[in-house]
Amino acid sequence: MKINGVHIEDTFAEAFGMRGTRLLITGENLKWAYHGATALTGFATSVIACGAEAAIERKLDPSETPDGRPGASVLMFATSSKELATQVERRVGQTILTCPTASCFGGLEEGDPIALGKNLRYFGDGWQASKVVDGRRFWRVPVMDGEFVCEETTRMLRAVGGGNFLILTRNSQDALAAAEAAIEAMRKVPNVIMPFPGGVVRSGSKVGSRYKTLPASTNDAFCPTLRGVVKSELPDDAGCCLEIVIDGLTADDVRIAMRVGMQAVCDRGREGGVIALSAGNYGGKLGQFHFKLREILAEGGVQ
Amino acid sequence: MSALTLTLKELPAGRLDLSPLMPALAAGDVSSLTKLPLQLGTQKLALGDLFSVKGDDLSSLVLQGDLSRVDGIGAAMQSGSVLVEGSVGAYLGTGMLGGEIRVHGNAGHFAAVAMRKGFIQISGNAGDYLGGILPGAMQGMAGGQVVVLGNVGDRCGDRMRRGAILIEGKVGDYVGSRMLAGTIAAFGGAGKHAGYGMRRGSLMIRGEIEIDATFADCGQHVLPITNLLFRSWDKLGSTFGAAAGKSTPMHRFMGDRGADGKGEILRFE
Repeated sequence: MKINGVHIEDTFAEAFGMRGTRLLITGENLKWAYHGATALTGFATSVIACGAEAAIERKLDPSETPDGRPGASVLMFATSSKELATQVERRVGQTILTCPTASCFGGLEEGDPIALGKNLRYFGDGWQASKVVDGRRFWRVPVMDGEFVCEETTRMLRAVGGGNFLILTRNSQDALAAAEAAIEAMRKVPNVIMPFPGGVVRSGSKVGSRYKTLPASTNDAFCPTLRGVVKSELPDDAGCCLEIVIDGLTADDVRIAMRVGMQAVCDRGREGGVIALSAGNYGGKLGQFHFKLREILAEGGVQ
Repeated sequence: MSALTLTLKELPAGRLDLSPLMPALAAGDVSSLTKLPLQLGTQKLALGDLFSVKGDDLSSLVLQGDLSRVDGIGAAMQSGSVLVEGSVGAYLGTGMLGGEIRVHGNAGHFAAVAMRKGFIQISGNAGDYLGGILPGAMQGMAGGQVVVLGNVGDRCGDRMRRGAILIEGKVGDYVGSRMLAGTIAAFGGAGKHAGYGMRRGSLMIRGEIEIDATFADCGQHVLPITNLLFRSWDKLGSTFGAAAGKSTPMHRFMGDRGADGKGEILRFE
């Protein structure tokens, strides 16, 4: 399969079941809402060592937020419900509670409730108070700029983490340009995030290593500087490979984001230095979701 | 199906207690409705003697005639709607559990006492103890929303536990007395001793209000929670949402320091 001169590898992305939630962060203005949301989703690229994968999903207009202030919608994913609950509480407590003027609300209508402000309220040392508005409970915690308002719970869904595709290009500049185009298009897709820096990751991994203590290590088959010494997966003219990782609330959301992203890359085509699209998997045995690249692109009507 | 319409034939000589009506309708027996015994003063009369009955939709009740001496309309109601074309007596929506009541007129004393859930709108004035407490109970109104477009009497929200009472006009003396929690907003000022003995909860008063010495002045603030409240009230299509999205500054007084003291009066312009 070739689109606009870009070879589409006959392979699939392997993704995993995760737990996900959406949080809405608002502030006095967009700047401070984003300060809070950015800190909340900081150091949340991979569950391997961050505990959670999180990023800003999109900007929210005042008309879309519970308190009528500007804000940001954040998606957060973890490997278990317990870990997600821990991460939500820890991160909101250290970043939104601390952020001037910021408030935090649950952003999902369905799913199991997990604590959001339920325990953070004790920071109020007895001065905390709650209000039930339209059946939802909100906590008001006195802080030095007024009050921190936080919904008591947020809802948690079974979600999908680790959808991905690899962009193989002539050089690093072409790879960055293609990845940036993909991310720009994918940011318009609802219910998904790309948790790595700028949405892009360069350190794809394989399972196992030559060291006893290290369960995963660099994906040498896609490392251009090792082409001569390992069994390389890179085409001869490829000098760079970047990966885009997608977490979504459902498998369909991940599928749509992958399609939109891959189409944006293919639009740049061979002329833009893009040689091939591939994907990361572990032989299909570890993850419960398989996203076949050719199938997904064919669904989008691309030949 | 057309709305079940009860028209009061004439103004009763004494107080008529209509509180058995909603439980009877919930039981779904329309055939025996005209035989439903009702207390009028010291007499027991059948509903059919007092009201003419039309329609068959039990979930939508319309009451007509001069009902100013009819008490307990919508008491213990669980679902559906009640529309009253005129003023009603006391105990409107007592212990209401769901559904909605709209009164195109005034309501007497004790409206919405011990209300648990649902919605009541009174387009005229309401009497004393709106959203208050029944004798012997520990708490008053414990949920739901009450909207009054006119003025309200004294002791509004006495021992109120949860829910919201919104008043476009003025509320009388002792609003929120002994209040446990919940929200009362009055947009036309309040009488004396607002929040007397209140433990928690919020009184939001626009306009004239005297603050008792047992309330501590916490200064003027913009409180994000009021945005949530105003936005929620905006849906009611009254003036309550007018402040939505404006981050209105509130002068906060905490009290009653003679009781638990965690309640608040929020005064705003």
